[in-house]
Amino acid sequence: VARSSIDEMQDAVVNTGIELEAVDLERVYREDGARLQRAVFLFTGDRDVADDAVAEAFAQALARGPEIASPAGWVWNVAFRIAKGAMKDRGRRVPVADDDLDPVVETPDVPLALMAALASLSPKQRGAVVLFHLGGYSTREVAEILDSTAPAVTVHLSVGRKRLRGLLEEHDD
Amino acid sequence: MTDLDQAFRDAERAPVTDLWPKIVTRTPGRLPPARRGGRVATIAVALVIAVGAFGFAAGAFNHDASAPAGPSPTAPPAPPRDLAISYNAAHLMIRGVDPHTGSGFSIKFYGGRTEQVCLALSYSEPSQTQLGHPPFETITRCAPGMTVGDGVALGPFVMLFVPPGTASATARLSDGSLVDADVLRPPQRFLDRASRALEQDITVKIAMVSRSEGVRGDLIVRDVSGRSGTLPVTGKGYGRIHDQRWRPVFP
Repeated sequence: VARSSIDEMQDAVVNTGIELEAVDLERVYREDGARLQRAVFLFTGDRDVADDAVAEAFAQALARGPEIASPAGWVWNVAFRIAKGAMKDRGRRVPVADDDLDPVVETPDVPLALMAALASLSPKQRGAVVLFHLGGYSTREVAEILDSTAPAVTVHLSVGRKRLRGLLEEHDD
Repeated sequence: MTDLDQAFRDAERAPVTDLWPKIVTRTPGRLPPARRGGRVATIAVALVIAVGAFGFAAGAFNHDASAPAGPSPTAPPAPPRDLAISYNAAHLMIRGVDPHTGSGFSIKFYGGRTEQVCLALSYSEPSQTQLGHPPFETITRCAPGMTVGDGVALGPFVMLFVPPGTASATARLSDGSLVDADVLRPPQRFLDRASRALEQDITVKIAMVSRSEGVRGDLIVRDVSGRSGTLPVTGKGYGRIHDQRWRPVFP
């Protein structure tokens, strides 16, 4: 059988059913998962919460399969939503600022000054700054992920960056 | 002036854990609700849901029997009860096709040449002919990437490579119920071709377990002489199954 004919037959068979995005999602994780984990980690300051939120977001995406048109953006949105909920449920601040924790042991390769400075921002400011600078998202995209509006994100980003710069400069001094 | 971009670039060096093995075996919970734009938007969303629910209900009670059968564009069809499974290395795809209706689905494998996954392998001659499946001529490009105990979750099905010599298999699910697994054996002429590309320790038999809620439990496999072994099975949704720490039970 000619190869081209085989391809045509394969396409015909594929078109009779549903395209599942199972390994598409693994590809998304391999390409973008680490960045998402770091972003949620900086947002929450808690590696366990971050990893759990990211794992849950991808597990949700796996369960939904082809329902999700754009899994890459979807998992960012869901992971941050889960992380926000988890932090709210726990009713606590970013733990790196807590005196009880030893951040050197907890996060040996994370820039602690940045973690501490981020912990001083409000959750909205922190989310906007992390998604903009680490996630590389536009203010409109950040607004979609944080369930906010672009003008509000612009304000949070501006204030958050100003505060973050000041805190980091204080740390350097 | 502190360079925030540089600070975040430094943060990108922070190590992360590979979560994928946990992701593929994780049972998702309930998502917190999305909130967008305060009360007005919440009301608007509620209205949309109400209208959608009404429309769905109305549609359900006003089903047009003369409408053509088949999958709707928004709702996936019920999974076929028995699937013919094929793998095509050139397209990095595995397909499940219902031999009776022709409906089916596919999974694409990405990752480049070094991560190609070798997974297959069963079909029936009638479906092969009827649906024009490829005759597996391209299997020689298949790179070994999975071994005994590895597999794939395909919604309600979990397919696993089982040891050579497996004669029967039963899944014991977490609720204690037992589900017979189908041990699928490819035709000999396919085995002859595949054996040139597959590693010696990779069997080409697949146990298929059908369970709408996914599978979580043990797979008990037996050989012809009655020897048995147990393989932990967790699978739901759609994804590869690996790291099951399986050791062949038929030395």
